Amino acid sequence: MTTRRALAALIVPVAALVGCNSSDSGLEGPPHSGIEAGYPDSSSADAAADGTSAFLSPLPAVADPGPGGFLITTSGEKLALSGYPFTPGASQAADPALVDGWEIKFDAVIVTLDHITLSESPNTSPTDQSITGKQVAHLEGPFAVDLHKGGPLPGKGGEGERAVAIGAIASQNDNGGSSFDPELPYALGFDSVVASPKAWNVNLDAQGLVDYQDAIANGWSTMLIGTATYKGPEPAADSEFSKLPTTVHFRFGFPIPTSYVNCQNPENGTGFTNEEYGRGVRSKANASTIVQLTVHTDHLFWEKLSHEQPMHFDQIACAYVGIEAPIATLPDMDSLDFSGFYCKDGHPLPPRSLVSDYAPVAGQILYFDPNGVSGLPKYKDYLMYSVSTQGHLNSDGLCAVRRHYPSPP
Amino acid sequence: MRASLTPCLVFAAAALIGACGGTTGSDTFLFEAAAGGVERDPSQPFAFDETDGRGRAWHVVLTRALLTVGPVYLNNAVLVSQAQETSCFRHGGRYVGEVLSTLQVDALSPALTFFPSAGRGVADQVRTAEVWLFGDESNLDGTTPILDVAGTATSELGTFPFEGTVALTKDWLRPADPSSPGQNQLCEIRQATNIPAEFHTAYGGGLIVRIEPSRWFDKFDFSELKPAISAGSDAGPGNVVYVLGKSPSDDFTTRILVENLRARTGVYSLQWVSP
Repeated sequence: MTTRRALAALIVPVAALVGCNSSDSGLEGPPHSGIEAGYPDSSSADAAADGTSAFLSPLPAVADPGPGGFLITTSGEKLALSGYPFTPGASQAADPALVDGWEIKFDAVIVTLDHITLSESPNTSPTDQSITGKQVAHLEGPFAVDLHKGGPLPGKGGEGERAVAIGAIASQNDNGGSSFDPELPYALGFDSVVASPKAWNVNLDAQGLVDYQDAIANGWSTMLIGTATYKGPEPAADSEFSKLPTTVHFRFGFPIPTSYVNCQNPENGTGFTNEEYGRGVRSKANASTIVQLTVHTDHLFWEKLSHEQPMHFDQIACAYVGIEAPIATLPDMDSLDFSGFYCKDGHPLPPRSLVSDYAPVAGQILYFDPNGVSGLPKYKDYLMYSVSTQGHLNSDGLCAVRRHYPSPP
Repeated sequence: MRASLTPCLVFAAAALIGACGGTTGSDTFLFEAAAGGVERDPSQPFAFDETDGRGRAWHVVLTRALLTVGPVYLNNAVLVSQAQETSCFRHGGRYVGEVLSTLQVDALSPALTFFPSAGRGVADQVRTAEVWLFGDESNLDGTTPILDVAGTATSELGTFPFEGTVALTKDWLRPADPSSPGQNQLCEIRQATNIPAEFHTAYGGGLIVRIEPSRWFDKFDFSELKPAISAGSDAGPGNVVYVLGKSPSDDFTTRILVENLRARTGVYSLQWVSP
């Protein structure tokens, strides 16, 4: 039984409720920026064209804005499509693989993106990336996307990645409609927002729509749904590892609306001191510029609140000792202390490494490193903090992060 | 050690230093810096409550809390959340103030003590600060203890008198894979970085660093400490003291204390005072 089917019984009443609300009140559809050809106006947005949805409007085909414009795409990169395979002796860094022998396969990676903006002067403050000049253009959503399904476009992160277009910005629609200056960089920002019945359906299928209703009902901005399967060697009998379930379905919903501001762009070369890349995007005189809002899935598994960290799953399985094929959820992570993981049976979870390039931490208990971030009482809080930094530009461009939920800075 | 002073004396002295420096405007100027515990009534015991990682409530009374701090750096930059550190010794942005000496602070006392040498700065906005825990110049390998604490913790599990020192040695580092020996560096655990600090440095002013020792024990499980016989005592009831570990292999809860020393919020607060 998959995670999604297992929860179907719980979701149906929610779906029914949303459906009733929709038909009773009538939906306004997403706010319409009016800037792109092919978008329906808001009066027609509540009529689903393909009959699959009573509450999300299918996103019409996105037209390339042509020279001088920006085509906005999104991707979860290859890892959102294929997941994280594991073979004994794998490399945690190169493959990449989880260090503790778990294979991850996603059924869905659903995000809601909104408020894509372009602003003047991304380099206003070399020491504060969040400061830009005035906003000159925007693309309003929200856009509901399943990054596991991907799309028809090549991605920015390399072979095997497939991105999907969500809209286009042809001109400075907040600045009198003037053209973008190819000589100037523009600050790119976007939001991850709470799921909304007014969102455009970018690529959700029927099951995705059911999942999305769950996201709406729970106020989630990000959902990661899938299955983790232990693929390492048989653990020693009586070890704590032998008590872990070997299959764990997961259905993580994150209520972590976040703004990603003035992102760095890997296509720009080096940036300011301690910034890996230069900030902003530029238009081109002879073609559109593809801007990819990239959402990383690996933050869910990191052992340290920094970037590009080794990944683990034992600590999640540890919350379900004695339960066969459980469904892991975010609320259950509130029972775990990342300063030292104790399993559901009260025993400490030892560290281990089943890859070729990772040394486990010293001592008898696995712990994660908050890297100086205080005010994270439980592993649930740690996960929310880590996943909230998942938004990037063009694969790896870091953005200034503004969290819109209670969180340490 | 220099005399303990009140805040008003600190900035009066700072003004004097600044005047001696004879510089103004955007030029570099000197300033005095001082540190102490949080402001409170020192005649009362330093007591607080905390909850360990397994949800157990502890009542703690500290009787000793000495921390060696320094250098201290003031930065104009706001760094991107969860960005990977690219260097142990330069964290980007623009440094606008620095206090290069070190100072052992009695964190139970609100009285301020001057750092042994003046700081240097330029007039500018400060957004973040770094408090380093390097100890003196002989402490390159971190073997000199920078923390010395003692007290009593009580929970449903009983009463645990405790004491110990912490040296920030490589034993506290996460192990690096042999193929990446420079992966985890000692300096990483000897710095509290990205500490929010919103003020403007200016000629004639001074820096105050306050330390909140109760936050060192966030999520600390005193029952994980190992018992020992207190110094100069015979084995027997009342003479057992629980001691801090020297590495994660001794007890995992001392590692939490080590991590808390570099917390970016709650432990260190920085203030600029002007005459």
